[in-house]
Amino acid sequence: MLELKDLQVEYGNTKVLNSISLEIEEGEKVGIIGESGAGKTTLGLSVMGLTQGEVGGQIIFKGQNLLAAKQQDWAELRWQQIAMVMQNVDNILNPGYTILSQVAEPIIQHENLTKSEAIFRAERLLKQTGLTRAKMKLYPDSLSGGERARALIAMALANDPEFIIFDEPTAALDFLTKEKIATLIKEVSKEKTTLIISHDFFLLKELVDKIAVLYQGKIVELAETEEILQKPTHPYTRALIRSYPTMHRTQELQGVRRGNKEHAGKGCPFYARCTQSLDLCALKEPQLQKMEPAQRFLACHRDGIVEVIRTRGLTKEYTQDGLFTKDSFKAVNEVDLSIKEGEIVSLVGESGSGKSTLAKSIAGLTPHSEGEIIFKGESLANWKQKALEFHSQVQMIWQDPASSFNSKLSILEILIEPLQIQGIKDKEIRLKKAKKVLREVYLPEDESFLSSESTSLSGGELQRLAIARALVLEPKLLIADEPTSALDPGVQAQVLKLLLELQNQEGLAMLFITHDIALARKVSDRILVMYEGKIVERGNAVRVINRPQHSYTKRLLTAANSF
Amino acid sequence: MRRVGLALVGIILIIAIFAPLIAPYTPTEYVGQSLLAPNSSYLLGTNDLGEDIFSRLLYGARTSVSIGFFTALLATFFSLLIGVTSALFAGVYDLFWMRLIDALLAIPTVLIIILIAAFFRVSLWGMIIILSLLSWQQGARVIRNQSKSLLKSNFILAAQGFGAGKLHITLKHLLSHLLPLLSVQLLMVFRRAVFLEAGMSFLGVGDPSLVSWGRMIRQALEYIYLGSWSWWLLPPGVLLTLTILGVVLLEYGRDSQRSI
Repeated sequence: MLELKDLQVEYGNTKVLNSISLEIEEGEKVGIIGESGAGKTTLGLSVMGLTQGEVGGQIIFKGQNLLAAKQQDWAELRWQQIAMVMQNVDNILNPGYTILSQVAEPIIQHENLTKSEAIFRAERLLKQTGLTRAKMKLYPDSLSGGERARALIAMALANDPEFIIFDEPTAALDFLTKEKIATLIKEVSKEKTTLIISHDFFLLKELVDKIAVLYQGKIVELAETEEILQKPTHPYTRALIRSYPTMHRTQELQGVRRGNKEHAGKGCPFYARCTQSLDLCALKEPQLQKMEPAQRFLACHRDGIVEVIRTRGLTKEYTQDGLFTKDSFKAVNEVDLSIKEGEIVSLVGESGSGKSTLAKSIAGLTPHSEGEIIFKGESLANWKQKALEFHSQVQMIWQDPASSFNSKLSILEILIEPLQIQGIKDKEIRLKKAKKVLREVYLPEDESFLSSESTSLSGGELQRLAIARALVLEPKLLIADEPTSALDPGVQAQVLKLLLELQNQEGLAMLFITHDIALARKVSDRILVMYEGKIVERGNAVRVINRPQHSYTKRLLTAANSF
Repeated sequence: MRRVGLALVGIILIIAIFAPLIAPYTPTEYVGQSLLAPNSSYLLGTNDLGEDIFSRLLYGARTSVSIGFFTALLATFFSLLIGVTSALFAGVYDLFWMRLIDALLAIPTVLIIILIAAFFRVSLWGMIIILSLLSWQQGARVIRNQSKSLLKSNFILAAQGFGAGKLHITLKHLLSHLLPLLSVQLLMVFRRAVFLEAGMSFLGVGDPSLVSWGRMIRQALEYIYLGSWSWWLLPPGVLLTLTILGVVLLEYGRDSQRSI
């Protein structure tokens, strides 16, 4: 019904929309999501022909390119066939007229009806949207936000259009009102084609079949609603979902990270904020492409969020040769796991379940017996040729921070050791990097602190120093082996918060090892439960906590609940 | 106790270093009549060759200290080299050295020395090398065991996590933690070497021209019937005892300090 082809909108020199291509079939309901300033409203307005910017490309409505059409023709379509529910802001309704007359106005203008007929129809529409007769006679000032939203919907419906654009229909409304408006939208758009613009994933989940994610005027991902919510593929989509409060997530909210790179103006719009960007991303803009096999369109040079580590059938067997017998025991038994960039996976299990052995195998510190470890698409056997590079990208944080430092070294020496090993010879650079990570973990960076010994630090400070040291090489995968179990609860909370903050900022993939399922619940995207060397349960953190399947998980949860 | 040890060792060291300044005569020079009793010009008398015993005593300290010092250095270096590499490379290499050490420790030292004495004339440096080869084994085993347990510690695992190689781990982490062990080792080998050198010289192994306490005792014994033992036999014996006692006290002081 509506097709956008390479749509561009510029205000002055600022490109607000950048080659948008989108097809909406008759009866289809499509959502557009993005942060404020992404160009969502401009997109709606340009379909209406109401934008003040320079518009390029094609807007094809029922086979007719509106941009090529005369203003006259477009005006005829507007409100009659394409209508828009304007964003519900304070001055959107004319304060000088009653609601009823404002809804009647377009009817009078576009259809050959008498005033009283028009008012009768307006009344019916307003009633349909749930406003009482008394309220219709009021001026906009006297209405609540929810009521104004209803009035705006009624206005859009005035000429019975086939295609309706809703621009942030529920912004700034409370949950209950939002729910009512959502029901209303569902009802009125039943036989229509709709485009719903919102920053609210869960409104869209209710109302649309597919969602396009808009970032800085560009569609970065487009897929069926369920698909996109369950498996966001573009890093920006996932960040958006993570920043939205919901009952389906137990973790703290995370904002979309701030950019840390200069954006050259060309290349991928998300480049500056992306943690997995390549050099290519700064130079060439990725095009929206169909991803196989899923019905999904994505604009990303890296084909979406990359998988940092994967293990297949990972097994670590310890054998003890006796005189007549051969004792063997599998500390890690056929473990499959996968962690994506920016994802936190918790490994939960009691002591002796093989968690630490698994961690050491993945970190390349102990050879595994069978199976495969694949880091950034390459098997560990290949990485052996470039071990130094591998170790610079995989870092561990140890359970007991004090023992992970050489007590004979000063804090500065501890921090620059990884850099020395990695062959960074310039003292200035090493010092700069050491100071940077100290700032990140909120430790002092003055001379006297740098030259003091690690033994003079408290438990919390030690673990923060350990985190700083792990980050000094800017790793891609961080393995945290019980990083807070040696700390008291107050300090644990601080350290954990810091760790998560840095994880989000750097886009680290993190394997978080803990015996504490309650802690795992607060931290992770997914939980793996390990028992006697095997992964007995895996899944989304909320699912594992709320609907555990394996008896061992249930036992862990019961134990956690009783404290 | 540590202080007493330090004082004793200090005095011996001063004697050894400044022997040419303190000694009234050259130790191998014929200065007068042989077999004189102590008098004002020959503090401890002269020996059968007319050499001044006091001067020989002072120069004897040089021999003991330099043999002790260089043997300690060399043997500890062997211990360190073999101990650390065995721990680092493990496997067959480790097995080889550890079994070899077991075998070497089973052979009595004195027996080897007597055998060598039967066939060779050994110079000062030859003595140092022989003593070193006889003194590294125990140290190597101790260092290997300590290194092995250090290698399992978290800070070394952490360094490996940054991609550290064996050399980096040895230089940056192992050595600093082996230092106390090395100093114990140095003292122990020093003491043993001083004692063994005296023993070897007493048995007649080694260069006869070497001025050594052990040799003095041997020579004095031949003339014991003259009653010269109190100025010829006793002084080297006492100095030898004091040197060894000094080192023992130092070692003991170290240990008790560490346990505090």
